[in-house]
Amino acid sequence: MTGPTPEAVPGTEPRAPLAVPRARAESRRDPASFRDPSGFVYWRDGRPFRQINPAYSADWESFLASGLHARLLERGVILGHEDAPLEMAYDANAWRVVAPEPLDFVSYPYEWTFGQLRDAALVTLDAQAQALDAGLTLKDASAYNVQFHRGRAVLVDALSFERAEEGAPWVAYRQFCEHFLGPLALMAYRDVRLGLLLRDFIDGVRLDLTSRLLPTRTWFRLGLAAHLHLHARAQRRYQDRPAAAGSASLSRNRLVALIASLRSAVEKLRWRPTGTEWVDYAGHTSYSGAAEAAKKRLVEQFLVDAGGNRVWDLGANVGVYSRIAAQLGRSVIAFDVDPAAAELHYRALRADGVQNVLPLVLDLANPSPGLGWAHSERRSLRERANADVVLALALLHHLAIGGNVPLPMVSGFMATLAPRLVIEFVPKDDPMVRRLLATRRDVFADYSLEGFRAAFSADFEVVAEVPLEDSPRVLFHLRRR
Amino acid sequence: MSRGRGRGRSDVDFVLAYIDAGSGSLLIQGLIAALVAIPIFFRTQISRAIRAIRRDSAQERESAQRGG
Repeated sequence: MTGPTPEAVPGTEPRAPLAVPRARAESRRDPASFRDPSGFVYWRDGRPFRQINPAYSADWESFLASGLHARLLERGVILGHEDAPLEMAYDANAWRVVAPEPLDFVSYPYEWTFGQLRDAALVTLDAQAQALDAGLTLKDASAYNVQFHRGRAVLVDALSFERAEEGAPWVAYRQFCEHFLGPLALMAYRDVRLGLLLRDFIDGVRLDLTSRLLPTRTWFRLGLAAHLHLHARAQRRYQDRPAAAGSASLSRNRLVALIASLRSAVEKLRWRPTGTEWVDYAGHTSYSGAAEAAKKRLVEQFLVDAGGNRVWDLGANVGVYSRIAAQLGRSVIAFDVDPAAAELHYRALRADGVQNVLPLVLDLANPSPGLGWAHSERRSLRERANADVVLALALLHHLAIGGNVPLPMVSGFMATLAPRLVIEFVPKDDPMVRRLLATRRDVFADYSLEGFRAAFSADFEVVAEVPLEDSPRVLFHLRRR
Repeated sequence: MSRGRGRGRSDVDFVLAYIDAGSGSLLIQGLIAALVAIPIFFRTQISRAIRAIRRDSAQERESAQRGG
């Protein structure tokens, strides 16, 4: 009964797929792109391409001729593409080939903040509303068909549209509710951390589970009662019974009303990012204003010295230092374990119109693994590592003391992420470390400046080491050996 | 643009997709859509009526000004 986890997205090239045959030595099929018979993504010379199969030719022609593609591009709802010559095809079955605009980074719904998942839902509904106007429809509504590009949620699977059948219902309705509405309702009404359910249920959280987990008061929200609770009951009741076409028939006006109702249900979902451990951290640093200003200057200097284009800010909180990298023109991925901090960061970026920072929710002590078919459909964080520089500020003590990860293991992991590392050593006499040690035995004999140097020297050489002014902390710029 | 039924496609094809749409989902969306379409229908009719009234009164004002 489970539906698919749709299309792969054109980001950085994945490593060798485990279970997908190769047609040509120079082309590599994307391991996440195999479910939809309309076509698939593959890689050639480090660039993403999308092969369109003959079965999809009429729908593709309609997609272009109806003006839907142009309208979606104009509204910034879909990722752009260029036509590519047929000789670039992956195999002889190709009907057409397009080259989608490459993405800086592929992120997954279980790494998004509440606001990001909500924006992705609204983009999907916008695309469907536009499609209905043009006589087409979305044949799938997977959250994996959305990516964040230049600060905005965009649909990346151009093969998701098909010509609408007169009277046909929306076949992706269930998928939309399981990928978007259900998880958003759980995050808003129960606990924002339930967004992580999408990591276990990569084809969306089943509606029976969503309905069971939601509080009773959601029955009094018309949109949630209908699209989630009653929907879950209908699914259970008609399980294994095929729907007769007549009973499922839906006029275009009713389809438009359905999409409007879903939009209203999504828009009414709100979450206030407060009450988590780190959300106020930026306002409660343990060092003085002078130390903070000095740290900002030093971080900027180290980023300039390190060069490169892509920066990963680990433990970014609300993005104070990500913003410095962004102002230098770097493309930044800002990870934080705290969904509230990441959400505030996302909202601030949207409000300020910053396009080159992508905040994501991630627990570095348990980073996103490889998931889905053959462990390669959704890639692990390490497989997606493409940074030139990693920023790890006020982070080390959380990993080494808060997470009991030995310093050599922290160093080894950092070395897999980027060739340059800007890292802050926070000693045991710093108030933040003292706070961590207040409720536990100090079993961290190696946690010292000397221990740090010894551990990290196995993987890195020191480019610069500067004590932070007016603080016991030390900032390092390291280069991978 | 629409393909419609009856061109070599059966009634079952009509609701089949490459993903499993789910029988219950197909049926419940019909019910929900019918319900939510009612207020949308009335809202559309009311706003049409308001627009028509405004247009009429604007035309009346215009002709009164011309007459004056």
